[in-house]
Amino acid sequence: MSIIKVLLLEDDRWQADLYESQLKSEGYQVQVASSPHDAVMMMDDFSPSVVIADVLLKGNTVFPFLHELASYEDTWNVPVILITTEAEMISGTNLTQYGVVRVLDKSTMGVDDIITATRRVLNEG
Amino acid sequence: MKRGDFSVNDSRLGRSTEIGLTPEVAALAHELKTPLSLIRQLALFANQDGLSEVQLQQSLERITATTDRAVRLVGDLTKVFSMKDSELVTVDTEPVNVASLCEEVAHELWPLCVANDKQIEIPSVRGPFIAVGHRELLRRVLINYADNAIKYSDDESVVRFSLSRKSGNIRVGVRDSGPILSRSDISRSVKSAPLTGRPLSSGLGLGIAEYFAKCMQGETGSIRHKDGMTFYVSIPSSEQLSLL
Repeated sequence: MSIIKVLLLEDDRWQADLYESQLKSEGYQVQVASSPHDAVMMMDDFSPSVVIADVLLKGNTVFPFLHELASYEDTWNVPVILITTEAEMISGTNLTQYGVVRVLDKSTMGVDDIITATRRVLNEG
Repeated sequence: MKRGDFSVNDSRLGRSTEIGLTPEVAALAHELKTPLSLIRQLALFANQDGLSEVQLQQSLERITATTDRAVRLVGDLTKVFSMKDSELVTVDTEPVNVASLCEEVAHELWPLCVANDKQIEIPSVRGPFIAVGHRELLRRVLINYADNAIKYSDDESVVRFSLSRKSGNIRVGVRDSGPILSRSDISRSVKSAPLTGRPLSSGLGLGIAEYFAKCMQGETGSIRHKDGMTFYVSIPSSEQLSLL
């Protein structure tokens, strides 16, 4: 069975540590980017099966990164899970054009939710 | 009362307070949601079976540090609103030894540095750096800057205090090596927070710092570097020593 790669874009290191630990414990290979710029750089070399990204990042939002993904033939169809404290504010927004297939609410999510969401997204793909 | 506003009965004060759904309330709710969500997730993580002693200890340290940040923010805002209530546009000032205050702040934030794998460096200075300010407000400004720098600097980097004299003022800077906010980001953060609108996620602290500085007849500012930023507060230098 091939290892499934997850690119995690999260600028809060402690939050990133939590998600990384949970994903690795389920056997996923994880790379963490702390900025959209780093995430773009990692896309080519790492070729993730799924991207999990925070929305509000330091001095920026995730959307320029998502726009970048949507612009290229080899990345436009990589599924994206957003993970944010702003879930209720963006839940009505049509984000499918950016490949967003799930939005998780940081303020209510359980420990296993990130794993469940990742599994579902990969199975649906 | 406008639609959406509500009232709170404060039994300790024996009065009812109307809470308006203002931009300040929205900003505070937004700012607190992030640390509270992180505390919750860290607690859920710590409650799992099979964690090592190190993982458990680290989670508890992070819960404490994140709680401290949130409490500091609430404390600063409480201070802002209590000052607004009493219409204290300026505060009583006194001579403040700024170098020693930097040491105090660095000492206070040392556990946060350790938890974040950062170091904090204070300048070795010649001669006294005595400003005329309000010690507690200045302390809050410096903690605010240093706290942000520790949180958002690159891993294993050093947060540096700096001291300088300029045009009758003493400038205290806190240098980080984090991401660089654009001028418009900084302007938006400061202008919109805490009193007039919704800030960026780390903007409320900058707005509070600016408010406290103004209360001391001072000002705040920032300097962009190639690999980070310095946020500074500038307040009048004490003339006492020159009179001796």
